[in-house]
Amino acid sequence: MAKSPKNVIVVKDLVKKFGNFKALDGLDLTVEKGHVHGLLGPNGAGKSTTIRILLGLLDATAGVATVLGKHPKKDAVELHRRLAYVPGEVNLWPNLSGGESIDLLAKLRGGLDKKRRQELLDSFQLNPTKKFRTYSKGNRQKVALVAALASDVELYILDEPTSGLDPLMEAVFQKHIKQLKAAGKSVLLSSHILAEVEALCDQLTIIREGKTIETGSLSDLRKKHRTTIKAHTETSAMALKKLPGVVNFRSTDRGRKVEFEVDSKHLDKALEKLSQLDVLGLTSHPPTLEELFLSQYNKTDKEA
Amino acid sequence: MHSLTGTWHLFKLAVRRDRIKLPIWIVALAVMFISSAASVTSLYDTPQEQFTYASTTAPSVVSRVFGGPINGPDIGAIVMNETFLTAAIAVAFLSTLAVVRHTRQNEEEGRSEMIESGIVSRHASVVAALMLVTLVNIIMSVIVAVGLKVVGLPTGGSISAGLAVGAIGMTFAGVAAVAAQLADSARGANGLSAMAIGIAFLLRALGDGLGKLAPNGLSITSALPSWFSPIGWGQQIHSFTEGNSWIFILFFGLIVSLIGTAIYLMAKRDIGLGMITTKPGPAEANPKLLSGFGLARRLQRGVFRGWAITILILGVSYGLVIQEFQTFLEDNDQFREALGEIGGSLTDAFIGIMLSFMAVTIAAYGVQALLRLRSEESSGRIESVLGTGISRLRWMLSHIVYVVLGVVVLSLLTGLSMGLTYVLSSGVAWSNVTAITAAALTQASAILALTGFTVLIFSMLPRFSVAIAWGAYSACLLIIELGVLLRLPQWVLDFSPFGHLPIMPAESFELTPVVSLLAVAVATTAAGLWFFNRRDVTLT
Repeated sequence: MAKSPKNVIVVKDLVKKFGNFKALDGLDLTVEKGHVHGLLGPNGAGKSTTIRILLGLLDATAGVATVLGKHPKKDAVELHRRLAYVPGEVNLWPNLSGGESIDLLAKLRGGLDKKRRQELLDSFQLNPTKKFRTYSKGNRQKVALVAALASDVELYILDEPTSGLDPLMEAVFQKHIKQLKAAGKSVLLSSHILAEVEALCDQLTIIREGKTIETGSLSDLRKKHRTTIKAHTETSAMALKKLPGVVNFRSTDRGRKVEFEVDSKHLDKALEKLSQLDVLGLTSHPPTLEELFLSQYNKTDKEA
Repeated sequence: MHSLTGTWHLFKLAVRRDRIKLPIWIVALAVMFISSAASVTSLYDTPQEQFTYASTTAPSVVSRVFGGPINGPDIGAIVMNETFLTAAIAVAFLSTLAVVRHTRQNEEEGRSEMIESGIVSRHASVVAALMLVTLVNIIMSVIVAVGLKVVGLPTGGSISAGLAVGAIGMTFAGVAAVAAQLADSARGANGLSAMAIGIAFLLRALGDGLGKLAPNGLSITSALPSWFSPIGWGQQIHSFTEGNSWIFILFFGLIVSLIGTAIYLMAKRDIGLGMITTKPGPAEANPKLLSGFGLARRLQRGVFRGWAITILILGVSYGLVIQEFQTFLEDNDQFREALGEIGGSLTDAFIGIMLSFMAVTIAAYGVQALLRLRSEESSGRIESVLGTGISRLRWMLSHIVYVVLGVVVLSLLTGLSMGLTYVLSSGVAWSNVTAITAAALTQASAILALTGFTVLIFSMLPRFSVAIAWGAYSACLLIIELGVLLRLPQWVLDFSPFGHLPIMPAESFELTPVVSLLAVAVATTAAGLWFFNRRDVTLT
């Protein structure tokens, strides 16, 4: 087996046009070996298009994409033996049973560990004898997940794999991804489920309208964003309103109770100023993942 | 909310969804029907020829099975015998497919969950589907009636025949409406409906085959099984001779009870479920499935088996018919003239033409089976497969190899079944088996040229490939069906790959056209593979 480079996925300045429509417009993405990397973005941002280019199903109009150091299209067969993929919408043959589909997909990928297959069927509580067309959405995803996770590969590419799973199955999924991480595997996980991303991902990339707008670890991203501060002071804290980087300033009790958001780089100044005002109570919290997303998703083109 | 709330909206939705598909079907059927009716009336335009037709057709079991019970030397009866069965079966399929498309398929694909949650009564969807099909059958009835009138048949009989075709369409629409309640998938409902059409065909084939020949040898009184078949009823009306209009009462009763049953079952069952549930499958795959070719074989084998049975039945029937047609040919000047131009013995020329019809039939298998490439792609299943370690080339070649083998096997089957039946039934020399088989295999080169074109179109214009491939196929079919009799100019005949081959066994084998056609097949297939490797997979 070829030795993997440090980064399992490297995408630079990727552009994909469908006719006149630009689905990707200079996207960058780097997934490090051994990491679980979250790919986030609003609907239509280009997540699935990116993944399909990484699988060689689509050709990039411009830019570079490498997977495990190889070209996604030219080296597709070799690459696909070293990665497993769960598509966003799992469509398989209505007349084949779930078990047949699992065996087929895993075998075409290179091989299948029977014991592992049984463990996965048990933990996901999937009945493999049902014909594919009789499965619900969640169970269809389980078929694709079992087929992917039963393969022993270096890289797992999962496109919104849990959108139809119940919370119990979500927990099972997270358990399996943590096992993969412990075994040194790499995962690219596109998801809308923020708790899942928060629980699993070492790194994440937020994309919008085909461009990368944020990338880094969750704590990196938090540093770039505003912290919310609530303070109760002895004397009026209205002066803080004029400090640089302070926004959404609200006050009650003649300025003795204030609430505001402040940019991470101006946090020091704000705290210094507050400390001079005899603080009676102080709470602060970094941006939650949800706030991070909403602030990014809601941006208009001008702001971006 | 009363029991039909929302029906009109759903009817308009169904019309809108089918605004292209149905007109194409209807126009294609109209062209086929009227052109074959016209060619029949021009072939048998003298009382002498009509007498010959009736006297040779009535005693022939094969003509009765595939035509019907001839009812005397009347031109109207002859046109019915030659065209009614095809029209009835085509309209039956048109009706069942449309009903299933707007009922069970909606449920299977989850559309009806949204529809049923709106202000729509429980019965609205099935009633709307039946309204659409009623409209289609009224149009088809008018086309058949006007077509028959235009080719010179009496008004009363033409109207009666048009109504009979429409009544058969509505009967099978009712069957499909019931099947859509029973089966839990569109595939299952279509399967049940097709089975019903097949049984109706076979019952009347049995009844007509066993029918009693009149003392004058010019008409047939069908045996009892024909009366258990709605298709048989349509023929027993004998629109141009006996005019048994009372049979329409039978149709009316059956249609009303089928629709009533469908509506009753609809109210009793749960949305999304059927009354026959799907059987579970194996928990683990058979090792034979676990490869690119294994998957292609699994996906292709059902279609192949269906065609193999069809080809076998047709081959045996044509084999039986050869001897009978020899007598017929001797009495029919015009036919003899047309065939005489081909050269060789008249029987060999006739066999050659039968074989080219068979080749066009096998080509339909080739086109249908290769368009599976497209349905794998448009359904999104290709995404999971190409995401594994199978290359695009291998995926595509697996299907192509299966279909090429399928075409060769079906051609071989044609030659052997037709040749052996001919030799065994007529006592001619055994060399006829090899001659006919060789001729059938020669035709395979033309079929493969058409399948190669299908591969190329799939790769170059995926979104239009289904329409273009079937369009090209229909053009070949029309050229071969009408070309010989209408003496179309050579440049028109040249469009069809089938026109380039010698009419074996009457004419001798020629290497050049076979090699050229195979070269076209290889070149188009290779170009198809090349293009597919370079294009984006179309995914939603």
